[in-house]
Amino acid sequence: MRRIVVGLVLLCGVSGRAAAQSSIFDARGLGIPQPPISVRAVGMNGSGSMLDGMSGTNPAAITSIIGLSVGFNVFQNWRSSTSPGGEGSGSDAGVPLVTVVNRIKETPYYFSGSFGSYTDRDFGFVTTDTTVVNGTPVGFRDSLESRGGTSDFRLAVGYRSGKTIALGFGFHFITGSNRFYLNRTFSDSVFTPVRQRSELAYNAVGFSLGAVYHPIEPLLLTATVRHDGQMNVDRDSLQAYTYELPWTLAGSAQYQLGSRGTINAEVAYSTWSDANAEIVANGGAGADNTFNASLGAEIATSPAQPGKLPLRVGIRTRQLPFPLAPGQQPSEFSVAAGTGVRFAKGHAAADLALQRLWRKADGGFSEDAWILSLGMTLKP
Amino acid sequence: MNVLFRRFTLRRFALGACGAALVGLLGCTEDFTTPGYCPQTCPGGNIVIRDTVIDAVVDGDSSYFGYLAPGEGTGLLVSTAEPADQYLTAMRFGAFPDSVRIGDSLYAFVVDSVGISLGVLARDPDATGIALQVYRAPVTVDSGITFAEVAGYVVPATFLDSITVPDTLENGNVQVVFRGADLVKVAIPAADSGVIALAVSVTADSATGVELGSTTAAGFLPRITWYISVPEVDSTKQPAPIQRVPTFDTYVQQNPPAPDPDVLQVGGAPSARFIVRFSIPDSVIVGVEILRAELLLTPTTPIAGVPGIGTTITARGVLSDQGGKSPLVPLLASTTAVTVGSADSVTVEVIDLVRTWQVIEGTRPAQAFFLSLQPEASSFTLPVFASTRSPSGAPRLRLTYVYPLDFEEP
Repeated sequence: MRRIVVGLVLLCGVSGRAAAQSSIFDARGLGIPQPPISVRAVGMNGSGSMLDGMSGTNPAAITSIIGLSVGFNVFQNWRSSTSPGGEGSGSDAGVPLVTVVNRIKETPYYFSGSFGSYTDRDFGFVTTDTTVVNGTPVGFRDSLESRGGTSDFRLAVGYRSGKTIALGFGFHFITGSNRFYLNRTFSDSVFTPVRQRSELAYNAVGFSLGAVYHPIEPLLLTATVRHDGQMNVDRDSLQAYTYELPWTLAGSAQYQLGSRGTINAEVAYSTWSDANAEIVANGGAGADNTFNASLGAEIATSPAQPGKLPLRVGIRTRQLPFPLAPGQQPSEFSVAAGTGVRFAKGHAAADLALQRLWRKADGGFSEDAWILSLGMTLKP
Repeated sequence: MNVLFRRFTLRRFALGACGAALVGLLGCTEDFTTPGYCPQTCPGGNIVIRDTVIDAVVDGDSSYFGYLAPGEGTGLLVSTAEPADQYLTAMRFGAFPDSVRIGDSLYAFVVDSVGISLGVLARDPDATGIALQVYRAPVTVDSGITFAEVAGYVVPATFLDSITVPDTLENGNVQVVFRGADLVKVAIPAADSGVIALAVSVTADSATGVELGSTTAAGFLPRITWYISVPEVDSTKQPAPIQRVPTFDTYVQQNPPAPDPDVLQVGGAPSARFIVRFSIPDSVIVGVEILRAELLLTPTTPIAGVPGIGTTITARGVLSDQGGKSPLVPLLASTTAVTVGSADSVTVEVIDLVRTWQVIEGTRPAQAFFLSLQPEASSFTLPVFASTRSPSGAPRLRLTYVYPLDFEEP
């Protein structure tokens, strides 16, 4: 059974090539930020991620993990996008997060390595229009495609002092690339098609500090501070420009409902506008600060076995940092549900989550999507 | 809720979850493309198409003559007699034997009939009443023969017969057969050693010309067929007809154009070709993506020739500029049709050739084009284009191109 499940999941992972979800709102800046959260947290729409050791949002949360644990997620995204140019649908798959956590034997210290998506910039647009060539109007069809994004490789150390407080430090190496492909075909065949490509490479170094505080039995509080440093952007192997990545302040709370489950709430604020001036100077549409809030619950369906098919639900609202046009900051609202199961005598767990989300921005741009996520956690 | 979930065993759930995920993840292809709307979904902006017209290098263009002589091309030209010009064709056939071998013996034979076949490669489809006039010519027909000499053979005394070209015939063979008393017309005197020569002219309801197949054409070659019999053998052993094609053929023009260094001539026979050189600024050739490249040639006068017969101009790249004997870029050629009677600019699409100029310095071909007329030395069409020495209409190259898109715009 275990071998079958692991084999299936590995196959799922191989099939996903993209780092994260494609979107029409990926067109600008770094695209859409992708929270490094496990499928368990996805089921609660991110609301429990800062207490989830298999997520990458709070380095102190790794101290909640018992024993060596390896987790990874895969997802499938189906979306329908609307722009003033028309409507279209797309789909893609990806591997957004891989996490390894362990405790240093007989010490209060924990360490973790994780590799996940930081931002996504997968998109493809088709535009048709007319241009004047040699004094004559000529119709054309542009196909612009971007593949890639940035990834967050985190090394984290956590420290737990009793049951009251845990602290964590994370070192983040953010790297990635975008490959752009532009094809233009003309309605008049005397003009040969235009085919251009370019590659942007990114790198930045950041850090995060986190804490988990357990003041009273049913309540857990968390807080994190994170700064992602300065993003260096190379274009076709030549240094192009740099801009500041945000400071992020986040906090969450979890209330334990006895054996019936938990209620989770989480907020985060990121200063993406630190990059605004540099992005605008390079011809972009700018960057805006973002606020992210989520609320969710994990309800045990079998109080005697909380890990067996719990029901997870959550809602989330957030702003996206990179507008398609100045002053038109996109926003996203989503609902999620999920569940999970432990098996192989507790050495493995599978989680499943389904998200429904809506994104919109002024100017007639909107999008809705279904995202099915599958996560596996192994404790060898 | 609990009842609902308890219906599933752990094992079923795990398999079901992974199965559903597999279906989802493997069953769906990646498809990122949705309708865009600029400027919001056009990071990097739009492609800006630029258009630059570049004049040829002054005095860097010139015509060269003598590539293919009349008869070395695929066609032989004949045209109606007009005050301004006329084409006549002459040909000499291979020797006709005086005996045939049947079994182990040589036999004298009797000529029953003689067929003369000529091939029409191209004609004006609108011309009517075309007839090829076949004359006997002396066997001394050879290279260097003049129009006046061939015209001297096209007289009633040497007239053999007329071959009508049906008005509906686009191309194909036409033939005349001599029998009985007419055989004397094609009899070969002993002094000619079995060789026969012909001269051909054409008549029609109006001025026109016909392109006949030559010995280098793929088909429709001139041919004489002798149908013979040997009285000494029975009918089952009679010899096959004897056929001969020309060992020499040519055509002559009454008023061939004289070379003019101030214009660009192409075609004719001996055929002319010309070279046009350019000096392209790096700003429009290096690092750009070329969408279209047009070589613009301006006729000095309406293009002369016979309408309705297809003719093209071919531009080739020049590997190394060595004038009239420049080695050419292999495999790449740009072709455009020319229209008789038109004075409009002729545009040759040369993008494939211009793109060879974008390779790294040191290995790239010369920025020049070498132009010829097709079918070479086999066409009535005689374009004459303005050169850089002409008062106006010098060759130009129009490049339409784009610079690389600034994908980095965030």
